[in-house]
Amino acid sequence: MENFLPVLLLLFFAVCLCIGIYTVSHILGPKNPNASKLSTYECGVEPEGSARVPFKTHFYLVAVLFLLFDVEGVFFIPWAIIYRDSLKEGTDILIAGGLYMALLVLALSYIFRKRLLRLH
Amino acid sequence: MNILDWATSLQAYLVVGTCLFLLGVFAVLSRRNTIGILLGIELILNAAGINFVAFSKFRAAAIDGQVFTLFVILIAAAEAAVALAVILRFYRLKETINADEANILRN
Amino acid sequence: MTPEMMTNLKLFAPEIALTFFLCTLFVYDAVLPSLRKTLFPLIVIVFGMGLAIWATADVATGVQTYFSGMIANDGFGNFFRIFFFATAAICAIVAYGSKELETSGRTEFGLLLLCITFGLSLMANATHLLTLYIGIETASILSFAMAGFARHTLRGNEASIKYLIFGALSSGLMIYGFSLIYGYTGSLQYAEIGKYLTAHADGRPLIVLFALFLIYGGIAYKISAFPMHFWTPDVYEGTTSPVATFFSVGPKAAGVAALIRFFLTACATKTGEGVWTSIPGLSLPNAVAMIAAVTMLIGNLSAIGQTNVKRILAYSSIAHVGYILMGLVGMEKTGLTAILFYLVAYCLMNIGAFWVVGIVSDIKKSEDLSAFRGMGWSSPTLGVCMAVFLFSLTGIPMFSGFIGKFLLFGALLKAPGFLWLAIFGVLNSVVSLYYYSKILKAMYFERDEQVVALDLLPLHRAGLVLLAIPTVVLGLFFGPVIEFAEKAVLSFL
Repeated sequence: MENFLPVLLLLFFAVCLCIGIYTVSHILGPKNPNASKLSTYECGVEPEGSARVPFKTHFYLVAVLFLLFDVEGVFFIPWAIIYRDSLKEGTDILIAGGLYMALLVLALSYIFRKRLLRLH
Repeated sequence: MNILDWATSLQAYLVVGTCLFLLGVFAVLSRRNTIGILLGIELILNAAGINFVAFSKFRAAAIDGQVFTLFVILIAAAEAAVALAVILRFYRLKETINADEANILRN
Repeated sequence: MTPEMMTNLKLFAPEIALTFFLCTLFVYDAVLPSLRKTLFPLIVIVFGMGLAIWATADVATGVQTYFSGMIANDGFGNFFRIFFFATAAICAIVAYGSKELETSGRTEFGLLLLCITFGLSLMANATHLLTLYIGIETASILSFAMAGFARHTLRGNEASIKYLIFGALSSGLMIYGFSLIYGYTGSLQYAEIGKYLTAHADGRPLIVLFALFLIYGGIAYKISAFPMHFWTPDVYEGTTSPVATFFSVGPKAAGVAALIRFFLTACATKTGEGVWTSIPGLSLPNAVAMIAAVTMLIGNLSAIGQTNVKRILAYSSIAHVGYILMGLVGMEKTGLTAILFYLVAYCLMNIGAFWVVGIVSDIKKSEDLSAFRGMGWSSPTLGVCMAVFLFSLTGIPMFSGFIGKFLLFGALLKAPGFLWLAIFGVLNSVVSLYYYSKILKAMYFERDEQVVALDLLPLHRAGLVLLAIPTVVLGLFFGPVIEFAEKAVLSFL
């Protein structure tokens, strides 16, 4: 438990620092808002149109495929950890991992074949 | 340091899990925004995951609970993927994600 | 390969065959898209299911668990495997005869169907909470996708959203129940849970009852029993008919099998050949009887005022779940045999009824009772087959539905103190006669103003007759099926 005390202290100091700086600048700073100060910043160019543009739903497909393959990759990690020790008991671990990877490669090749990851 | 001792006991983890579970159920039952409902469902699944890991550490000798949590995370991800696809199609058809607007099929 | 892995793969052969054909469909969809519009996917599915059934018969030796105690291989599980594979094949044929599924989407439908069947098979054979969870979630998540298959229509999409929200909530609750049971008993295997609950029967905290109730809630969602039945009418009405056909048979049977396996292994102890007694403090018969009664009542009463035939059939499927749960009350082999027989009969007559509704809605573009006017005269095959299915669903004697109900009531009366449930069930059957005869009345006693020529494909005619004949035959020669079911129940793990 004593190990966590420095972490708690750090957290406390970080929060206090943020609140302190913000409060001090709010109290001591000048308040003269005008139109051009309040407008949105667009790298020096005049902003035009709405900030919300309809985005292509194809991005959703790419994101969701990333999510699924990422979580699939997570399951490779425990397999990889016990792989070397399990090899002593036979090729079971290799077959299990191979079947898992084969199904995922099949899914990936389906995706490539159907060109689902192309954004243009 | 009594409070800190309690904070690393089984009870604390279960309290966190229960709070998340109740918040998740409240979110699912009371929100009209479908994505908000999905967030509630994720909260429920994560509450169960916390419970599993806590029990695995304090009660059982094996790591069954932690393996189960990995599977819960995987299946929650797959569920969210399909759910978002359905909600996206709903938005395409109705221009809204208000769950109250899904009202054609009624008694 | 270690001998253990060989046994695992050998016993898992039906599902491996299923996965192989699934991958074949996958590969052909990607490599040769021109084959989508032909019958090729259907042939693959039917052949694959036939092979899987043969593989099941091949592995049906010995009662054991494999994959380190996570999946069971016993007669009960193999019965359900054959049931799911056969149902998948029949539903694939129903889907291919339907115009509602766009021609270009048929391979995806086949893929979803096969994958859901895999999940159902896992559900029915699970002896570990993880396998149960994976099975339920595979079936559920893919069912969300299949429910919204008519994705360009508002109805299909709304059905999918309702199913999705309800299903995700139920499975979240169920998983929370799993975590509490795991915490209390320290194990995820059904047998170990049962041992722990029996050993610590006194002084059990209330949280265990709560957890068991949550787990029941998750499974009740799949079989649309009370209190998780609210999604059934909306989803069945909104989806296309072939999808509703599969939903009303496949997940229900899988949920019933999972329910039986979990609650008889983890919350009861086996005290004899085919007899179980519940653990003191967890009165399983009373709880199941209550749930069966309420489910029957809700299903039958809500169906009375409906005009949409798919909604009538949806509420009737809820009521049938109530009847099926009656067989679990006695917790002994006559009840379970009755459940298995009733599931077979229910599969035939329900698929037939939904198929007829699908055909009528393809031709007349409406699922209302008014679309059925004069059907009996303009298409005799359709009329007679629908009449057979409806009579069987009601439980009129000399059809298989009657034999099923008779067996269920008989098994119920063997358990002392549940006469009220049997009388309740009979009353409910009488009530159900009312709304089934509404359909028959529309078909035979009402005339249609404009006579639309009904052209049934030979596939429809042959299929409906092939479903109607066993419905009648099982009502007369029910011996072999009952013996098969009893053998299956006796070799329950």
